[in-house]
Amino acid sequence: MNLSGYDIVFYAAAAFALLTTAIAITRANPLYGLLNFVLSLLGMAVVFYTLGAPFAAALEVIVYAGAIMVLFLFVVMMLRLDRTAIARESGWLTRTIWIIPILAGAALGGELLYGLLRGTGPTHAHHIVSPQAVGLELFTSDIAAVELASMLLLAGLIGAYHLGRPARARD
Amino acid sequence: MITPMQAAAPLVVLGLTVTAMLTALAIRRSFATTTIIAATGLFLAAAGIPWALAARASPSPSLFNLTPDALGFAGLILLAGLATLTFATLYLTRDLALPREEYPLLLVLATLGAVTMATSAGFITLFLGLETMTIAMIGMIAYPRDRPEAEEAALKYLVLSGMSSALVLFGIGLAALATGHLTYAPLLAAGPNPIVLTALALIGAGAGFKLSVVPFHLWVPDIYAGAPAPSAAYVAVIPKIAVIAVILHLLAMPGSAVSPLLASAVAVVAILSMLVGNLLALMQENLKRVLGYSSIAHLGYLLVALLAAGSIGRAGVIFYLVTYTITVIGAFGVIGVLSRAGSARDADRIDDLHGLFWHRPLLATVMTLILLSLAGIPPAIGFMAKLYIMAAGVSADLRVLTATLVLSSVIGLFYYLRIIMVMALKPADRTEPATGTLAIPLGGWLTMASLGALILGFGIAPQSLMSLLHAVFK
Repeated sequence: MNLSGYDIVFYAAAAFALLTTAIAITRANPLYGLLNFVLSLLGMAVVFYTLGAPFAAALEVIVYAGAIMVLFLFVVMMLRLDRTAIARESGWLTRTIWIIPILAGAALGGELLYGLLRGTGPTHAHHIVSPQAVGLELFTSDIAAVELASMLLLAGLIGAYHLGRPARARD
Repeated sequence: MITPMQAAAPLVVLGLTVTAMLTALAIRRSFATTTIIAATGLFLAAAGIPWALAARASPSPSLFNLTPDALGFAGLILLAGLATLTFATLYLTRDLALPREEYPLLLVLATLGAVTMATSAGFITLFLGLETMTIAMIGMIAYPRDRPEAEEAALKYLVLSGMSSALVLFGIGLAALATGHLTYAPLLAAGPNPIVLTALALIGAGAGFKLSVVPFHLWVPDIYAGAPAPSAAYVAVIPKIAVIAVILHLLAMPGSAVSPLLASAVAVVAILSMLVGNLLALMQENLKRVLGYSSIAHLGYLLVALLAAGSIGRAGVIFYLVTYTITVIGAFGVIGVLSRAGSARDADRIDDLHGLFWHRPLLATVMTLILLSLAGIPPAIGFMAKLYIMAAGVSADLRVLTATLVLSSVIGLFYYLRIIMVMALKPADRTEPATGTLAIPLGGWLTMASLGALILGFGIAPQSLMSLLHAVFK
């Protein structure tokens, strides 16, 4: 298997995304966790780019890393975390709690690696998906899926609205 | 444009119902109006299915599979949703210190998701339907948010179903990697390539979570017990119909030979589900937990019929699914009509049913029919359903599975009959239990009575249900 420049970028970005995600879920301070998660999303954006989806990469940066994660950061900052919260979180991350997930993850990862190395499917296609192609697909053949996605968001919105609204007597 | 949309009539009607409910809510908040629109929408969507069956073509074949089978499952989902809505209307009384109008809205949205799943032709609609259903159900579980256990159940369901959705999504990603398509057919045609197998295993794990089979069952008792009764009924029934619809669609596609490896994995899951479900139900004091464990066992029975491929197995699966839907909605309905959302907890302890025969003989009779049906005793319909599955198992020569089915059914008898016994006990003193003073509205009686009549009627004359199912499912 001879590696081209794109391959090296792909594997490096994927490894970066994995590493930062691993760091993100092991931080006791959620702020550090979130910052690492932003890095992981940026890594994912590079992965998308090398796979020939520049539009998805741009969306990943603008929507996820840019908008959603910054919102998360605001919320976490407003919660005013102190040392006791950090101590409590690190109390949950004992050493024994990692044994089973690590073993299970290693088994699954090993199987996947084996499957992917033996597999015949394309590891990454060099077929560029332009924003125009995405837009055409979304608003012609997949228009019903777009409508369904709006229903999905509506369900989440109504649930969050009901759960988050202040309690008061019914009118 | 009319002809292609005709086949998608149920989906269109549900979408319009949501819009109509939102408009009505924007004009004036009224629980009655919202509920009536929801019920009308669900009913019209179900009533439109015969018309949709007459359509020739699907409006979007890469997204929707609007075959008679898929539409039949959609009809079952819609009717089950309508029955749950009736119970929910009685359950959400005025004394609930929260607005009630969002519940019917969430229920219709969840039903839209489930119908989308059942009629999906590819992974895009499968995942969108799955998520719409799940997210709306989380809202339904946490609806009486002043109850800590409802919020806890919703949080558990959110985390665990998020995990299972992530597995499904990873599986879909691998499927797209292996085939370059997002529809089902290329994946089945791709053959036993390691990526395809991994994709199927991941998607199967997600399906197992929604079907609540062992080893993906750990969430079931907690969430059924914490959720308000109508939501528990919904969570126990609707996602299972949707997932089974997708599985039967996949099995009916050309070139979908189940590999021996996959079949033995499913067999192990079925055996474990039957045994674990029935054994753990023995020691429970909470009726919703009993129903949770019993639903694990029932899905194990269903998998036996699924493994006994061929026409008998297929008919057995559909017959059992209809039976399961009627009985489980009825069982949660009994808890629902005895409880109110405004109270601190549902009447879900087995002790709450103590002496039910003496002060509510009719309700106790319906509950007895439901329990007999769950246990598989004639004349209830559950007997015929189990007989069907056993016939399918024997004809496909699945000896171990059929033997486990018989053995675990015998274990199951104990806890079903115990509930009937508690209901028949004479109340020790004249003080009524906590639930004894509630008046049950007419709508509750009608729904309970019609469910009881279905259980008894189809149990005595199963041929009528069979011919009905034959008319819808080829």
